[in-house]
Amino acid sequence: MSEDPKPQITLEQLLKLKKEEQPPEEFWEDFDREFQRRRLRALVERGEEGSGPLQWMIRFLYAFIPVSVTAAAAMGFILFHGASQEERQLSRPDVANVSLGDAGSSSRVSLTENPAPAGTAESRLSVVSASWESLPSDAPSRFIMDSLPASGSNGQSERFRMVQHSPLLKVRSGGSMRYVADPITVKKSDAMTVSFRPSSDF
Amino acid sequence: MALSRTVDKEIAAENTQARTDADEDAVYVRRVQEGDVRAFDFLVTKYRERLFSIIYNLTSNREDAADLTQEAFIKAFSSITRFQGKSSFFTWLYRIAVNTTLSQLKRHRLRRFFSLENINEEASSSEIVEALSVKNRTEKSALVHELQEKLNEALQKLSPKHRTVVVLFEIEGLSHQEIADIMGCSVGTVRSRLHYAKQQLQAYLHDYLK
Repeated sequence: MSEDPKPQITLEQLLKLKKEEQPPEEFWEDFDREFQRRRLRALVERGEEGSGPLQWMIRFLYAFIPVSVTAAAAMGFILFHGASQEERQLSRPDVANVSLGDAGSSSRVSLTENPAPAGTAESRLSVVSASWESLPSDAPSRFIMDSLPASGSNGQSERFRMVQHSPLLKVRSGGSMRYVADPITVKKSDAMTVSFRPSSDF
Repeated sequence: MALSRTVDKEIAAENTQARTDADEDAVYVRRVQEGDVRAFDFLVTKYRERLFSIIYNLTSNREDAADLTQEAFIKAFSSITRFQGKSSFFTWLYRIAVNTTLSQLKRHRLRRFFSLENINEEASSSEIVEALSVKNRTEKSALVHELQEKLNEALQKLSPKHRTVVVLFEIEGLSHQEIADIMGCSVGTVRSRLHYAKQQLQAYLHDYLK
């Protein structure tokens, strides 16, 4: 630069050149979008404190957002849960009545004291009967049983894991995750009759 | 006599235009104050480029300038019910923009990342670009780019207040009175800051200017 002749330009001219520095058109499209978003937020915040003609507009805009979000969530729920009848049949677990007390006092289960993770219980249970039944209305929660092979003194035996079942989840057999354990609270009782639905996928 | 009449006519035309602009702004401001949120869009579209230009030239960073321009408009929108029309809308808006930017510059004093916008060379004043005594177009573009960088560096060396008067006067073409209204100082203060700032810039850019 020092070898070349100085540009014949004044400070004022150079400063005026800066006026020509402008962002491209796309920049303003993004700008407008962002401004609309920020203005909506400002409207909502103002609506919480202000009053006047804008109030109804703010409430309308504010209400529109949760409605649209709820609609989207509902649509997602419907799409997810809208399984065919056949799919529901497959994922619908069998029902069996299990009496925890029959397996002996050692198998008395207090879920709140069980060292197993919350919502699960490990206990050896005898199956009294297995049939398709609807859940009793007084069942504290819905459970499914997962049978886990375990070695006992008598050779192979089965351990049963009782976990909460959510009808929204399809349980695949052979997969590493066969159920979802949710935290639950169940009152301690000496003999507890639990209706469970072992999944036919197991 | 004929020349002065022509000049008078031009000044009168400018004043008429200014009054028309101010009146137009007043109409939209009133509508916004009455609850017509959309009327504010007109004002945003009208002033966004000018506001961005000021803030960009103060910060020399496009992202910061975009963010601060948004913030200035939102502040204006949020407080428009308190605007009483004692000054013109654009003076009030520019004041918000300048104060917002100066606050930001105080908080982030050490920011040194610059970004440069492209100069629209076709639209720019041809005599300025032509004054760059370089033969071919490529070299001219490179020189313009270099000058932009050097000018940005020099501007950043000024204090924010000195930088503001230079930007508003030399780049945006506002009058001393308008600048004084925006910055909340006297016309005399504007003049002395401008004089000092230009002296500093001349010193910094000595090698690049005639």
